[in-house]
Amino acid sequence: MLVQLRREAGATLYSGDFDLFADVVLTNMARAAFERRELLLDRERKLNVPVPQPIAVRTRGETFSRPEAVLDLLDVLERQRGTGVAVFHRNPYLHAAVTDYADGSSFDVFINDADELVVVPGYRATVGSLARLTDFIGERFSAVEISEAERVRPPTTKDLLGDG
Amino acid sequence: LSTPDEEQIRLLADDFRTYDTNVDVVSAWEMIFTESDTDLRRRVRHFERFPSILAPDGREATPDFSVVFDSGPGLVGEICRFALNEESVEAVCDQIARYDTLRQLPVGGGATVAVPAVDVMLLVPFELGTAAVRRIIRQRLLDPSHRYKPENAPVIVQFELSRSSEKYVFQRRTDSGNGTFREEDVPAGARLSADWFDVDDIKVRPDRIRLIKSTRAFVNDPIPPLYLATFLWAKPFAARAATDARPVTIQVVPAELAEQVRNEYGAVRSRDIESAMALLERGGLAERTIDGWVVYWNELHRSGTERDLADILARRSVRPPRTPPRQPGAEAPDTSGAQERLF
Repeated sequence: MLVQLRREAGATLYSGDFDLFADVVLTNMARAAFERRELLLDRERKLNVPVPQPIAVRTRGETFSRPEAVLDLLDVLERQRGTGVAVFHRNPYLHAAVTDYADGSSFDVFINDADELVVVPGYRATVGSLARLTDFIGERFSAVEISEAERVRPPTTKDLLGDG
Repeated sequence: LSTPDEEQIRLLADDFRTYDTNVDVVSAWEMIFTESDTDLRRRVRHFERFPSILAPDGREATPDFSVVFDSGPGLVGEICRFALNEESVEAVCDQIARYDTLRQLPVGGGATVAVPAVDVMLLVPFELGTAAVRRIIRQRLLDPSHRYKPENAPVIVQFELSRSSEKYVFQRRTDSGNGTFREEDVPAGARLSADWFDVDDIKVRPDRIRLIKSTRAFVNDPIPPLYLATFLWAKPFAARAATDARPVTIQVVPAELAEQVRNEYGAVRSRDIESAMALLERGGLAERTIDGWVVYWNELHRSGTERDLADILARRSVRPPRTPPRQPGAEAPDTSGAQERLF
């Protein structure tokens, strides 16, 4: 069986058993697409409603530990067609507002850890725009996982007088 | 750009950074007083991020935050920076002397509650900590001839975002004369002075405040025009501009936009909106109309040395492009107020 799998654009069966291809490849791809859509659905903020949990893009190793990596991120985001970037805080942590000029969605993007970027959707944040942003960052920085961000455990007195 | 232009851009950027630091500092204390798993948090009845309090002198007081505990004195926090001149420090002392007289603090929903006293926590950047003790405590509070005589000495706490540890660090100055929080009746473990500041510096990792900062983007001070203009351009204006037409014409009535942003993100006043619109106007991106402003929202991309949207707006406001804000052939803004308002 000759199959080509692509990270972004699906798969092609060139020769072999189509039923096996459908069972093994297409079914899993459909499930992954469904799960991704479920993950990104209803992340918009709504007035007087608790903020939905942000989305985390996790990378391997110390991707964002180098200042150049953060600069590279801002650069490639800005160069992406139809995207605007406003940096509110640059160093030693990143907080930027990313605007999708095509549909008006906006997101707060934070980098607090060397291997994680967190996206907090705003009052307008379509599924398509959130998918484009997370897919783009994930592709560019070889993400190993895109998922709901872990809740930060409330710090104890010991934490706040210790490591923060 | 000429040197004076660069200087203007630098000043705009400085105000932007200083305000963002203040947002972080207030967010850190909001996290400590409302979300931390501590005995201190458990004795908090209400934390107010945008207090507006009627002082005994009949005027409004707007500290950076206030806290009502389940018993004992309340607390107000004020982030303070002062200049070399004496007038600047006198103004700080006058301001915090008024806070010391407050006997009611907000408890949410527009209500207030009486408190027996108020402790003032004066938050100063590390580089001003020593000067704050010398100029506020020694040269004024402890000088019998000076008028600054609050009921309780202010508690001067210096702060910085440590580049090495990547945390906000808060440190109470231990100099004699610096204030302590009045917590004689507070159980051990829940005392900010004895159980926190006297034990170690308080550290807050920035990831602990990211949701607070995303949801409450402002603090209780006038918002620098560049900061608010950048925010409006990237968020509420963009949300109203999901159309192919460029530029998008957005009618802005400052009071209405202020109310929308206030509901969504916290204290924004009409005069803040006016200042931000004036900055956009200088950049050729807005024009005044009979009942507000019209904004010509467009995709702004970097060119040359521009770093991001804030930098683009700063540079445009100082050195506007020659092209007019409207599309060629577009109608002039309606100054009759008859156009549909987006805000």
